[in-house]
Amino acid sequence: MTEVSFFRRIGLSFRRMWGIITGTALDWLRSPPAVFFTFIYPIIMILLFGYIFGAGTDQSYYSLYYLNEDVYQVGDQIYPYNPTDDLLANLGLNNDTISDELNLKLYLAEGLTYTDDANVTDWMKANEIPYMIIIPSGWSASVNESKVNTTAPKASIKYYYDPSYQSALEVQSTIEFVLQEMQLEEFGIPTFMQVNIVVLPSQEGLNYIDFYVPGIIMVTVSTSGMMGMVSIVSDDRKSGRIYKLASTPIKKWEWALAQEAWQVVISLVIALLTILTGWLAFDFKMDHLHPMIIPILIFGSMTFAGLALIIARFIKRPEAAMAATFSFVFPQMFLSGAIMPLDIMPDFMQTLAQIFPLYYISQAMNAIMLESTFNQVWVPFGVTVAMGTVFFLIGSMITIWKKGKED
Amino acid sequence: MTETEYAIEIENLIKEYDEVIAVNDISFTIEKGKIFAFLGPNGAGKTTTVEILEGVRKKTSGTARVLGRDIDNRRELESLKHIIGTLPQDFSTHDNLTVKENLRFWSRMYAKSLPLDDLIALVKLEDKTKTQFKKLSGGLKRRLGIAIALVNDPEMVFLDEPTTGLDPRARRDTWKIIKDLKKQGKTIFLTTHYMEEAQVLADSVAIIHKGKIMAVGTPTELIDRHGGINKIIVRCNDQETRDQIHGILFEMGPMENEDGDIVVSAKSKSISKVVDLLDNKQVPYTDIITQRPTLEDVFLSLTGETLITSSEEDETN
Repeated sequence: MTEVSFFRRIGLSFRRMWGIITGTALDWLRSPPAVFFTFIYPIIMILLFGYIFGAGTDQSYYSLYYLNEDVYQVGDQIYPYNPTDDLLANLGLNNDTISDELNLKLYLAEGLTYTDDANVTDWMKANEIPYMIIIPSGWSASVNESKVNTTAPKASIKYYYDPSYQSALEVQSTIEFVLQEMQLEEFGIPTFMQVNIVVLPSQEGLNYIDFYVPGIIMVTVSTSGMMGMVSIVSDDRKSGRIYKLASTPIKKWEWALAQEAWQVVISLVIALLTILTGWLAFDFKMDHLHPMIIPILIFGSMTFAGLALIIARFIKRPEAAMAATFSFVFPQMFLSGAIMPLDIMPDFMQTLAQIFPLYYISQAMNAIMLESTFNQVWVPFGVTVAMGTVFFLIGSMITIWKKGKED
Repeated sequence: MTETEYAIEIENLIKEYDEVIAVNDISFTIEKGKIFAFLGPNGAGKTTTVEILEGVRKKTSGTARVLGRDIDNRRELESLKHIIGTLPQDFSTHDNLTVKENLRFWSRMYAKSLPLDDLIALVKLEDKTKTQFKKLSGGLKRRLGIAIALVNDPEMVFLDEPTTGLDPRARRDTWKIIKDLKKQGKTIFLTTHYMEEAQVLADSVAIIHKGKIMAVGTPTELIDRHGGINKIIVRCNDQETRDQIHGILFEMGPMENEDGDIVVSAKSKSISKVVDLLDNKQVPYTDIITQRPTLEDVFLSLTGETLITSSEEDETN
């Protein structure tokens, strides 16, 4: 059996499919808002996540304000050690090396005169300061006293913070770490334990952006794929074009296949744009690219287009279909592990993540781009191929072209 | 598939939606090469019937053959789709594609197609070939729809309300195109709620009301059978004259139409009698004419409603 006779036998006409693809593509390309938002979306996503999660080249610092109320009183007493200056130096004051290590920049709380806690918190609110420390009067004396008298009260500094800032707890940990280090050093306790850091050889030299690009590609492909397909079906149905098509020789699966082919083209462009933006803005490494990305994109795109056909089959009103698609796409974006690490989520959410197709497709994409083991690549890739095929077949079969009561 | 002289044979066709019977046990045939008008108000069941014949809607029961093909047989329905053309009631195509690009799009749905420029010339859209569909007027959109319906050089064309919403000139242009199609030997299935359209174009007419066929025949046959007798229409300019005419023609049962003209039934020689009566009293009427019954009268006689009233009621429901 020749190839041509096989296609003829199953009733597939490339002429009809080409007609649908070119018609849909031309109509879409002449709709500037559709083109703009489809292609700007991956660029915004990669820039957003790139900058938020530190993929940029500039280091970011937490701004820690301080007020030193402790006047180091020498007087008659001679102290061998000035802990206030030491603390500020260890937090990176006038020391860029320490500042870089701790990601902290210290700023004097100018204009603040300490009277009580309320006056400090008012000043913080007025100046939008997320956290600050106050070294109270007599702190140095307390520290020196504690060195010779173990029953003396603890020498405390005050840490004020606004809990609405997630970074406040991280800054608190840094301050506590610095204090502990100072304490060990002052009491002459030698450091005999440490952590040696070893990076997985295959992941060495990777930065944040290398981990985000595969996930963002699939997130944008899934979002634009589903939204795009639902929009096409709704538009074809609303305009009556789908019923006019039903009176021509084209079969609905030919139409579905052509529409999915068009979605694949858009997916490839989205992937290219994401990769190029990652490379230009954050130095994404092009050697992560692999030919297997293309079949993942094809079957991934087929999965989401098929899912969109299924949604559009049951929800016929365009606005309702869009809302239903969005309510699937949005949680999938965060719960699939494509852009948010699953290991920070509760156990039940990690299990829930596995119901989303994006979970497997982004795993496959991650694995192929970040050179993981055979099993890590082929299992999710196999699932992706199976999902793309099954969702396409189901979507094509259940799509309805005949008019119902409401049409 | 069977060879037959009929383009369409429908027997006991029924379409039900829950409690509603949209098409109620209709039967009729259409000869090949003729223009058939399916006349009825909105909601009468015209579009439902057409869509069943096109394979776009499922029927509840009954049989239907189009160009010898049984629409229940999947293979025969598939082969039918190659040789019919359709203009849906609310026709729309790709908004951002030009006239020619849209024609090309639809031509690719068929194995063969007519030259696109010939089709454009047929519907007189030569100066609009590069205009996007969304920028065309309603009349031009409908003309493009007709060209698309003809793109595969079909044996039979279904035109569902091809002139609804068009201005009189655009309507007459469309009529001319439809007449030209008949000259090419095509069978035309036309649905309309304009009786004038059916009367001007159709070789045969079926009147449908609330899903039921009320009568089938040529326009002349229907008028002769159901239209009643001729009418005499007396025109005048003022109410005083109108009242005077009412009084003089009282015995003939005068009525007033929506234009304020006095209408009486015309029996043999009654036109001369009316003229004599009015002239003897020196009534200043402006005109007096006789009018043959129309399909509107046929519809009124068969349903007790006017086509316009029925359509308006359906539109407000």
